[in-house]
Amino acid sequence: MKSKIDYRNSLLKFSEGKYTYRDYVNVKGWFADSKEDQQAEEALFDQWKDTSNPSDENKHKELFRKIHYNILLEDRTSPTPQSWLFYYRQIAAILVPILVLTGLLYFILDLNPAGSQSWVEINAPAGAKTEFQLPDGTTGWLNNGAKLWYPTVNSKNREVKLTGEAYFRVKHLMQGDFTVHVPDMDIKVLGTKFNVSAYENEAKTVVVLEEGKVEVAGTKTKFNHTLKPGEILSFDHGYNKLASGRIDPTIYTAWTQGFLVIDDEPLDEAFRKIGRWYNADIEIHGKIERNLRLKATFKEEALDEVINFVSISTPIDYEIIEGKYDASGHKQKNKVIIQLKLE
Amino acid sequence: MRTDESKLLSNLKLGDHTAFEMLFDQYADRLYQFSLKYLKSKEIAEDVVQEVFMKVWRNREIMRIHSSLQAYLFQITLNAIRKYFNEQAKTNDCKHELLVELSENATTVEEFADYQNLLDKLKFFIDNMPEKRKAAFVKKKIEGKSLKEISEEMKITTKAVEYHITEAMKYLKSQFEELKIQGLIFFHLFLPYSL
Repeated sequence: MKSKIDYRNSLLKFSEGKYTYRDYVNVKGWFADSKEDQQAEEALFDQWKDTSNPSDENKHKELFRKIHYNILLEDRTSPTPQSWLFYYRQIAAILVPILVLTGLLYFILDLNPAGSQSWVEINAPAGAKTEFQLPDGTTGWLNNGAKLWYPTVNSKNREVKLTGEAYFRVKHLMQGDFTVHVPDMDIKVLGTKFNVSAYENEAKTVVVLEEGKVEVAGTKTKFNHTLKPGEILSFDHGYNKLASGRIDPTIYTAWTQGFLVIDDEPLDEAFRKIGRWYNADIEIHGKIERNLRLKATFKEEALDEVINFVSISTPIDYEIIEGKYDASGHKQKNKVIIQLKLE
Repeated sequence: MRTDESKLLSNLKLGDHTAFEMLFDQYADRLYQFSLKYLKSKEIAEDVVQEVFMKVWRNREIMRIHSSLQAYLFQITLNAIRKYFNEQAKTNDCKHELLVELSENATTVEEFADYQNLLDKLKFFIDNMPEKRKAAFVKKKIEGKSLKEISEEMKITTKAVEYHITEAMKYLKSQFEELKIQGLIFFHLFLPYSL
């Protein structure tokens, strides 16, 4: 090497925080001239690779929102700053007692050729919630459009199948696990309270543990994860990505008390949730950016009130088309058309 | 489990915001920690993270990743750090002059084994000053502004600015003297080198 200065050593000492002024001068010299000492750059790349990844994915979420916001401002051809002022506004809600519709309960036969196990299906109609109790004493709630199957014959191992969202209070028995099967994963529990959301039209399957302990095993993609109280596990099937973290479980179980909670969620996800809650078809015309988010809690508001709230707090226009009654007197689904406000 | 990187990148190219967020989740903290090592400021480290990801988004359609995403991100991060580091160099020179002035001996400062510690102490004492004094002092001694500029900015007379700076220097000198007496800085000069 033609230069005698040990840039590498000075850089590493500087970065670790214990260095002399002369180290600093070397670092300054190195940064001032990028052609100086390529080997030092390789050492820095090694150091970069060794820098650990975060354990908490939410650590920089605020920063991400800031970046996303700027990106959107840049991407918009004709920015309308006024409409963004509403972006952070939250929607308050009025509290009214909850109305719960009872679900349909009927028997179906499992057509699995391997066995003649018959299953009972519990069904929460779209736009309603159903409280259930299983023969073993386990109780819980099914959210809009969710379905739960359990075997008619009591076996030692308790197993249920679920699509959609459910909250479980699993009865603790001395012997016999309780397992919830959803398309992506098997959730094995002891006595515990937890929430599972596994809607087929959502990208993520989400498990939130309120009490106790559950073990989650991936079925298509193999993974194993044990959840502690207050933890969330989400699996994104599109990206095959598993994420976990700590949250406030009450946000995820509030629906069992009749609250529609939208916790800072992207608008498209929020609308799918609202659509399920009110059994309405919500169509989004055009593209709505992912960084348009909504934070709101509703209880017992009518669909038009909810949509109106959303339109005040985000730059959208909407139209509600009331469902007509068909020949047999059944009301068809309401339809909501959402569009990004154009100015 | 590892996210499928090439899928992430191809979706990012199409402008997928979820892919962008995942990329952010995967690399933001590494980027932040690494920048912090060289820039010694949380705010500036966050600026680097922001700048790098804005760049990734803007260049998503044209970016060509030769070796790995890892190397690509490292390169643009290092460039951003370089830029901020060079911007900081001037104020760092001012701080150094100040430390030399306070210790009354350039060699002592330059050979002290823990230079960062001196800077931290300096920052601590400056932050400890009354608000106006601190403002006048920082503008003069660290940002290198003239008395006239400062008096206009702060709407006080140049005499008052001078007074604040004199008092601030007196205060800093006494604090550094105290540290020397306590043996908390510069003491190593009387001990054999251990590095």
